[in-house]
Amino acid sequence: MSMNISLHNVGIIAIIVFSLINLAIGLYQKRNRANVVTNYVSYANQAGPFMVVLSVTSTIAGGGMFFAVSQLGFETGISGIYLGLSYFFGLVMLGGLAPLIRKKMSESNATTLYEFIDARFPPVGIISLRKIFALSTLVIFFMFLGAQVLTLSFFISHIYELSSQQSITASATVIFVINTSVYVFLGGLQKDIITDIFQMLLVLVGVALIIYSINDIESIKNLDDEYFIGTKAGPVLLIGIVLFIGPALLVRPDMWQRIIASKTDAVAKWSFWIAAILSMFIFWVFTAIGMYANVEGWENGDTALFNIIKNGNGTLYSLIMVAFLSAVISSADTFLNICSISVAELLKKPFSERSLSISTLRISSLIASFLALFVAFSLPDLIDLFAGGFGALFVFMPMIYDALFSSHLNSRAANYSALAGMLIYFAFVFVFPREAFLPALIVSTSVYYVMLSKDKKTDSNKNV
Amino acid sequence: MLDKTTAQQVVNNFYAVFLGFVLSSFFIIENTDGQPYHVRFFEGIEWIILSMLVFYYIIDWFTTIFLLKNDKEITYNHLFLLLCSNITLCYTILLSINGGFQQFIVFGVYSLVVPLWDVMVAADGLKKLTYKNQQKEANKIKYRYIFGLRFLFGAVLCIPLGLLLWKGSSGTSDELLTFVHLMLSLIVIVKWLRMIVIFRIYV
Repeated sequence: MSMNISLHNVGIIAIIVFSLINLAIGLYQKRNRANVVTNYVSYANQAGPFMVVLSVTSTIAGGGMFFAVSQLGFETGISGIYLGLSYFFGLVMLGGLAPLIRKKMSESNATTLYEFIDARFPPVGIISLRKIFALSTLVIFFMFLGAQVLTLSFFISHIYELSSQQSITASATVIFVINTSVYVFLGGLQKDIITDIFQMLLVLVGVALIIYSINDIESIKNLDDEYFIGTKAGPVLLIGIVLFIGPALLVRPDMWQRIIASKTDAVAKWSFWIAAILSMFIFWVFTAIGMYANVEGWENGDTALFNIIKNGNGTLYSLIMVAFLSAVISSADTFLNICSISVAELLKKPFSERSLSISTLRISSLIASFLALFVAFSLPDLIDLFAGGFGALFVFMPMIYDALFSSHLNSRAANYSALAGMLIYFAFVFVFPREAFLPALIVSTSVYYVMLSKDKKTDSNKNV
Repeated sequence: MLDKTTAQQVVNNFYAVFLGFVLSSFFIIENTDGQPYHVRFFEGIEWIILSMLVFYYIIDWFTTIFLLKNDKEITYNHLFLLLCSNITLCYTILLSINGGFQQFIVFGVYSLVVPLWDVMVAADGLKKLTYKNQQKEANKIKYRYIFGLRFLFGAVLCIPLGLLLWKGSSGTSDELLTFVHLMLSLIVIVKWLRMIVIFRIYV
């Protein structure tokens, strides 16, 4: 009983502290340059290495890290380590590509991935790839956002012992009040990146304390060999993690935002590389926690965090809880920012000038925050939400790859490919949320390259 | 300096012996009761991996000959080093197909180290050779992506082997063998991809 009261107090304190600090940062920045649209959507060329490293890491290390990765370690052993490795690979790749991305964006006079897509694949008739991409990222980032809501609801239900529906409502309210009123509504990406520094430092402190709190990590040696091989959930999961997670980062607008936000090419490159190491380390820690939960005979990996710290003192408990809240909010604000930009992109009239207005962006953030609630209620499985979201991004891989590297672009092929891919994806996602991306990827890639080669042949025949 | 015809003959002989060895690996020769020798055709994934390897090494043979033809300053030392590295790499892969824990570890180290060596060689080669087309950036990225993927598979292979060593396991479980076969297949597929990319860039 005393434990419950203590947890209750810690939860309230953590939420209040966060609300106050976030509000302070948000209001301070409001007076300065928050009203500038470019700061709201891209914060171009203003973030130093420290900011970019922590912002990228905090976007990767969200609330899901504390529960989903631990649960993965609990169930399948070192699969979470492979996940970290795949993120490492993706971030290193993105860091290597950062100077090229910045150069191409600058040549296209674009400050966001949406504008870049529009510049490289202009609309054909009434179909615009920019709009299709905006709609898709909206759905995808709602899923990511829904996952953050679920982790927060898990945290709240553990402390307050509410039913899951009540805790989802409570956590959704908390997370959206904090984020929409302070970060996204007032300052967009600028606030997001600035607050990421503070939040990620807290996450790192929390991770260090969790490591310190584990008494006998070597006890995981007692697990069966299969937990150390990582194929316990089948080889398909392993191949999927290795092949798809890392490259998916190339299609994420939040990652492009941080590349553009970096002060210089070198800052972008090195910051992504350092973030790759940091993210991989955090993945490995939480995988080990899940495996430790298994060997200790706890009920599941989700609650490992609570079990590890339950015997600690109040300060330790508070700091780890605050770290967890930081992780959730640092990812949620990024996802909400992307959702609001996507909504604004969809609200924008076709064929108007490319930049968005600050009021549209703010209205969009409010709409996005309310819509995200429905996603959390309709797909209440954490791993489904992440897998579903990541998978859908792949539909745009061929177009973005060509937008960066090819000089012969074809808007018609890109539009039809994206439309076909997303239609297939939505046809399958509610039945097979984890596997829906595969037919969508196959269809979109086939449509794109078939149409591309067909149009090339037609062009060459015309020339003859 | 070395006569190119002699160098090619040495390489041809090496690959003939090696491919013969790979092909003989398709069969397991067992000494069983009553029957002095029982020849059993490989079944399951080993057969698929070996088939992929045979095709890979046949193409590898041609590329080695191609390299020799284009190398202006080939010496006995170069040829000796080339053959030594080929023998080491080829046998490392072959032994790991049906090997024990120690062979797996050697294979794991190979998978992690060779992509690094490969990228160093490629960096040198990229400077020397002219591109087929003007897509310099795209080609560089493709090559680096393949290198990264190979390195990633190497790391994925080494991590469990390292952890099992730390755990003090004997490393004889069926799961480990299946895992090594899976990684071996993926590594061979990526080797193919690398070859395709190189052909598209240079040939």
